[in-house]
Amino acid sequence: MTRSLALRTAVVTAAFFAFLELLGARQHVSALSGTVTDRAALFLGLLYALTFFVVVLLLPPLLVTGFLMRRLESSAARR
Amino acid sequence: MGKRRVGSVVLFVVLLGAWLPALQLVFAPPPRAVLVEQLARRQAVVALRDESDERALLRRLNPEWDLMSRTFGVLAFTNLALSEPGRADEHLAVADALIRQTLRDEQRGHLFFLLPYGRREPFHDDAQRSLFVDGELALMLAARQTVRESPEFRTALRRQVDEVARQLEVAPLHLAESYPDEGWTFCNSIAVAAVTLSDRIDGRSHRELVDAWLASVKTHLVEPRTGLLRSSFRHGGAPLDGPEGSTLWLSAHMLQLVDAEFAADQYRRARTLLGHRTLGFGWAAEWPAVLRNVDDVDSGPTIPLVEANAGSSGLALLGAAAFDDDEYLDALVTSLGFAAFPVRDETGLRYAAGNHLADAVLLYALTEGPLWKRASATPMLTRTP
Repeated sequence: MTRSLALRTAVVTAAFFAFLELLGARQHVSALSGTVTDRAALFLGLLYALTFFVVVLLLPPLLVTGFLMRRLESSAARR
Repeated sequence: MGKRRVGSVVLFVVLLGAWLPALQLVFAPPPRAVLVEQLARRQAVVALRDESDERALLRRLNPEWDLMSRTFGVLAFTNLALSEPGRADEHLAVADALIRQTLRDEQRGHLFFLLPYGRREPFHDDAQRSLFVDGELALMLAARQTVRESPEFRTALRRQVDEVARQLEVAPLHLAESYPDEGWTFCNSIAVAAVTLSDRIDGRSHRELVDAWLASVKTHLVEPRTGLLRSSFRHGGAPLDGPEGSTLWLSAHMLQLVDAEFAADQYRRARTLLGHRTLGFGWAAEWPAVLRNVDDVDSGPTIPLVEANAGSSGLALLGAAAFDDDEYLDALVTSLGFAAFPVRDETGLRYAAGNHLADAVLLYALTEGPLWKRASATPMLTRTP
């Protein structure tokens, strides 16, 4: 994992999550309890839930890793 | 892999290790009173309508869920009526609406609340009735009348309790059917709780029947490896499904009215074998690790690896609340904020990952207490029916 990969992954995942949010996918997360009416809703709901968990669990440490690595690299370059 | 890459991976893992324990703070729930107010507002909006999208969806997926959402709704609002005496009329109006709708719908035929397989063969019971439907209706009526007796429901309660008692009396081993040739511990424990609750207010006593049922349950329904109650059985008591969380948490709560010690023992065993709590989050498995089973429509999906099951985790909230297991209850409610996707709007609060039934169960879990306390405090009269 590199600094740019960490930051890129974080930004792309966050953007994808925002896109799903705008699409209204949140209302289909009832897929998690088996309360779904069709396959498209099931897919969208599960995708939304999965992306949400990635955003919440992994994004903050990923972002901080990216920023800290950038700081370290730039201070190393100055030396 | 270069030094820098290894360094960034190590840094990421360290930061992840620091972040995960802090997540519980991010998803800490609002105070219970706030949750109750928001959930109750939305449940009332739906209950006071004769028909709603929420209920139509439940009926389409599983008609049992429709009836169960009404039962938990009535239990929640009767508890609210007792805990907020100043708003008792308002809360009882919601409970009454749910009971009237159920009495009306039950007239459409006894199979109205059953899944289609309820029509495949006749019940062994001569009257062709389901303890699931009669027991839940009896419990709704008994709860309502325990708070404040209404002449409107007096006859209906007596009729329902007579019917439930008849089914338990004539069933082999006193274990009655919910579906043809299929009995559920969930429904039997609700039925017995309804009879017990009713006895405390109408002056009759079914204690002999309840004692016989209890002895039968302890003899025939306890699974020997875990000491937990099996969730279903054939007409005649032959085992069907083993212990399931979605049955156990609720049954233990119902048993509190009948045999508090046995109920507490069931809760403790379920908590040990099914309950999980890690990093401030709580969840429950549907089956004990020593007894694997397969998903069924009532259990809902299970998330692999952590064994978190939707149905069991939802009803674990009720178990934790009923047995004053505050640490576990807090952890379960924290999980709702994280994994159940709360949606707040002008009608109140709902959880998008669940459904109207799940919200009703949660509301009941958060309001539970006053009704069972009142039932326990009321001296039971000993006149036989």
